[in-house]
Amino acid sequence: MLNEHLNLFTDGACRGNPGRAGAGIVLTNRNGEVIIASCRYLGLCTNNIAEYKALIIGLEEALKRRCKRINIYLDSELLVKQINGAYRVKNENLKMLMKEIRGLLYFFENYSVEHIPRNKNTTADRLANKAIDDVC
Amino acid sequence: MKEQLSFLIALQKLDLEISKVSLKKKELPVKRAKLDEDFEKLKADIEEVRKRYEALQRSRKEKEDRLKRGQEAITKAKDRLLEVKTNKEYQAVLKEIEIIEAKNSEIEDEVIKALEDIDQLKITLDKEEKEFDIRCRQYERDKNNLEEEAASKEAALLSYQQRVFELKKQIDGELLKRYETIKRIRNGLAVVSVWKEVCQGCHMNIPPQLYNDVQKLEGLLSCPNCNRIIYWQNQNNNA
Repeated sequence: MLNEHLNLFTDGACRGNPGRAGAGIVLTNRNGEVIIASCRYLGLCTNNIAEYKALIIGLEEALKRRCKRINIYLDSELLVKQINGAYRVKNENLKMLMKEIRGLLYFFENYSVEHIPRNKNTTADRLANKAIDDVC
Repeated sequence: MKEQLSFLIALQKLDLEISKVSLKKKELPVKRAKLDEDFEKLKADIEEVRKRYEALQRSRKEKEDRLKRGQEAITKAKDRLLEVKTNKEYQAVLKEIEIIEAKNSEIEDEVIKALEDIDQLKITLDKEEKEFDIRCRQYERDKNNLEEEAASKEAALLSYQQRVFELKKQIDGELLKRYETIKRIRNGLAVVSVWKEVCQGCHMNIPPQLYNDVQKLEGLLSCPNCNRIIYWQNQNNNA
């Protein structure tokens, strides 16, 4: 099954911090073909919450497609390091979201989280900004 | 006389064109200086953001190194726990671990803050870099346009000057001297038209008889007020 192993690119954008925020997600299969590219308006929140929520949306989409192995690519180094356990999550709101992320990751047989530069995550970034533009 | 007058009119037109083009040519270095100044300011602004970003990265690296050293200190202290012989020593090492952990937690907060700042600044920097690229291209285009404009003005000036030189050869010496004198005194305007008894140089009325003479082209006449050489021009036809 092609969908068993997917790549996930997510990004959260925020106009101000806190400010109006949007999430952009791109799921591709192992051949690099886009399975889904979508965006969602998140309302008023911080940039970190936007990043976390974007990842949650992306993981949910992957699970809907019965994905078992996932490679996650994020341009937020902080989020990558927190998921990988290099740093703790101290903010209470983020702690809850991290719990949700860990809960979703549990359903995958295997996952990896990598930091990528912003210019390698332009589609997700564009979608996140589109979500804000479409509403505002 | 009619021919000499037509030469003078043509000469005046050319002189006016030369003065117009020269003025515009003089403005070009000013425009270029302003363009360079704006661009240098833009470059300095982006350089400042880059430097801030690099400083944040250095500070983050330094904090991460400190954190790493703190974590190593905890590992070492935990190893020592296995070697202590008395309860007092054991309690002392536990206290030491607690202190280091508290310190490490503080450093970790600082690292997280630095990472957040870096993420935010990177967004700004990327945006400004993109904007800078666009402005760079615009600057090069504007610079080239100014250079082309300077070259075209220079070419136009040369062509006008050549035509003036040729024209002057056909004008009577005394008349040319008169033209040059009036031009010098009257702000570059020596030959003007008259319409409805009004001199278009000083905008004063000329006597009706003089107006009739000008219309009849009776000699090279001058405005009694500004002394400019005058000729009749039907401005209804021009419109």
